[in-house]
Amino acid sequence: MTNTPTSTTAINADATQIATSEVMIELAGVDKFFGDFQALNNINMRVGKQEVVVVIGPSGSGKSTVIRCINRLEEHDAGRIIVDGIELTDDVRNIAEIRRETGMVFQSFNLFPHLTVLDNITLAPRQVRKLPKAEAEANAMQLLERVKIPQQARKFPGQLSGGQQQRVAIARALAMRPKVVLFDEPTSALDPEMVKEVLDTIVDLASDGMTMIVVTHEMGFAREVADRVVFMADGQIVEVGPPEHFFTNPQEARTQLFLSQIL
Amino acid sequence: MSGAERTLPPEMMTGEIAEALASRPARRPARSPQEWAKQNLFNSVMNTIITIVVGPIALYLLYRFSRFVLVTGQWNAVRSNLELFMVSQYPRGERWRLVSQLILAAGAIGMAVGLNGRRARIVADQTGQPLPSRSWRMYLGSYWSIILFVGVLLGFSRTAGPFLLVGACLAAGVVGYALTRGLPAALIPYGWTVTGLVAVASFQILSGTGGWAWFFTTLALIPALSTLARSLPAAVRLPIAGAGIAVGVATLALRWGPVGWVAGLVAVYIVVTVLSGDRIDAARTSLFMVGGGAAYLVSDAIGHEGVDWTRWGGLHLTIVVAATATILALPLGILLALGRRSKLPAIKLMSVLYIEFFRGVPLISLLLASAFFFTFFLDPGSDTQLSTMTRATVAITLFSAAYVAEVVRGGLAAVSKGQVEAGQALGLSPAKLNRLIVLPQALRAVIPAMVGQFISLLKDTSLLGIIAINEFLGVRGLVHGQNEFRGVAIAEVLVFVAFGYWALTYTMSRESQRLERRLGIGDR
Repeated sequence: MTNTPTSTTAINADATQIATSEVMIELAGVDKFFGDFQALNNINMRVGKQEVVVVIGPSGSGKSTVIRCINRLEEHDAGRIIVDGIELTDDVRNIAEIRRETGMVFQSFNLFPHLTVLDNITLAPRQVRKLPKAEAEANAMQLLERVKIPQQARKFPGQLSGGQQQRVAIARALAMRPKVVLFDEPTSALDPEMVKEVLDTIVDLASDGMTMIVVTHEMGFAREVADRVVFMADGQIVEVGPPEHFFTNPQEARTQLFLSQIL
Repeated sequence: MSGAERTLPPEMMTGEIAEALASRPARRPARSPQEWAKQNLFNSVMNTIITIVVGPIALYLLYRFSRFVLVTGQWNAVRSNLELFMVSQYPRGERWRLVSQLILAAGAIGMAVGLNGRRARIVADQTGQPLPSRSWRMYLGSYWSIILFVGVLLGFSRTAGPFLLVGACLAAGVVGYALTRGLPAALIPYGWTVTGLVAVASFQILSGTGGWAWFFTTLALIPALSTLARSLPAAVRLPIAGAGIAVGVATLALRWGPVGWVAGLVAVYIVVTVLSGDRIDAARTSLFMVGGGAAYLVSDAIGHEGVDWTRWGGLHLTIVVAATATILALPLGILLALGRRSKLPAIKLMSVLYIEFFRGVPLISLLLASAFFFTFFLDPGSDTQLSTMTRATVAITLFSAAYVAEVVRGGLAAVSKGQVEAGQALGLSPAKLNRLIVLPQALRAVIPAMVGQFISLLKDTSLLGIIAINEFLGVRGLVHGQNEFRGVAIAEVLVFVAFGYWALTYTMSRESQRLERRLGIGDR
């Protein structure tokens, strides 16, 4: 936290907000470079248990990179990332442990096209958690009920609509019983008429008390579901606040500009 | 589609009808030959000119070829040497081995077809996707080349024996199919193991139970043992793993051969998996070891003598060598392709060196090396003298594996980064990620190229002739060595041999297309 030219407000806001509950995810001074390009610049963020944090910002601002660093799809170059008390280091066991605790939903679904919906969901519980097949399938069916597509269990992903595929991807992420779910623009690749069914699923999940970080462009959804909104630009956190303050009374000029363009 | 749509007035194209039409393959109205010729041969000035110029030439060539095949050809050279072409100088008193091999192999193929169909029907029931309808026309379309070849062989034969053999093979195939097509789903893995054992038995009747019999038997046991390991109660998995280590150590102590060497490696692997807590994997590996040990002891105890490979020949030898090299080159090539993408520099370097070396040298030079100075490097003067055939098969395997590796590499590159990330995000280990996510998709993507590689391999076996092995093409030398056929019927013999290779490779190519279509179901 020594070289923080612009994001001091963010840190302060952050520090005041989080005193409420236990910390699930903590990022401290995280930097990330792609070659010479600095994708993340001194990111400080804490996410409490059962908290829903929505990350918004213009494209290229580093939103996705932040959550991809949390489960080591990208390696951060400086700073600390701690998930549920486990620090993310080069230690393979720590990485594996954090990935077990963290579910992820991708923009492009990334379902496994050669496996049925049921096999997509049971793969990790059986292979990583070593659940017996029957138990894993019973859990998977429950999850499919929860995302409201149990009748699609035996189909292949290619036979489903985009919205159904993304709901399967959510069920797949939940099947590992994660403590945190990371959403990377879950509705950006969907046709407009399918956005709602996926957002509804995420809202349900939030009301069940799941800890989540959601990167999204859906402002209405952000306002509805977020406990806190994080605004990022140029690899830095510009502003953090509860949605009612954030959308009605943004403090930073950069945030005001972004909201005026998008709303 | 357009033809079918035109039959309905537009106002009748309600949703239901349109749907019914869409779900039905479009059928074109029948056209008269004149119409067909007009649409395809004379539909533009350029095409008319091409038809007028090329048509007569094609017809003339067809006439000359038919005349050669049906009238002027001296097919006696083939007819009286049919046995040579099929099995070369395989000892007459041992022919029963070939007969039983063919019949068992046909049975195994029938069982494999039955099991595969059973699996397809189960998947279709579960997913609610209708099975693609199949008709005799489709089978004929896939297999007409091989049926034609067998027909020609039967036409050349002068005794009833070959007809009886073909009949027996068909019967064995039908029996195998009937036995497996209704198998309960839970027994399918065991069905595959029995099928594999029949195939191994068919081969071992010929070559005896020494050598690699234990290895192929273990391969055949994999489906059953794998399923067994998963269904074991958790409490006995660890003792089983212990037993596997014991067998490994015992085999090591009994005989320090290839078996002991592999056993040692696997024992280490089991210790690691037991320690890392993956007990299903540990139990599975142990069962393979116990199975491998048992297979080794059984094949040793049976002590069945085979016919030495040096006396094999003809089309039979071609198929055996090509099949063996194919089965061995595939896993080796996959390992090399994965090795080439490995993050460990040593493994990557070795894979790259291997691939670039074997792709850089001609197969002929490898075959000559394998025949004349390979053993210098291995074990000069030791008791394990590998036969020329074994060494040649190894050479072809090593050579093909390098090409397979490059084909697989293309497939690996085609699997999107998102698939890997999804697997990582779920916490899959790199090995499981490769085995369960990346490889199935990569291999599916390269089926045509892979089969092309194996077609090359089959044809490459014709080079075995230069190291004095009488494979299918090499029999030519024996035929023209006979007084009766010295310097005559050269074209006839070559055309016959070429026809044989073509019949086999064309079938492979059609099978690859079928496989590609069938596996494409999940990708849409």
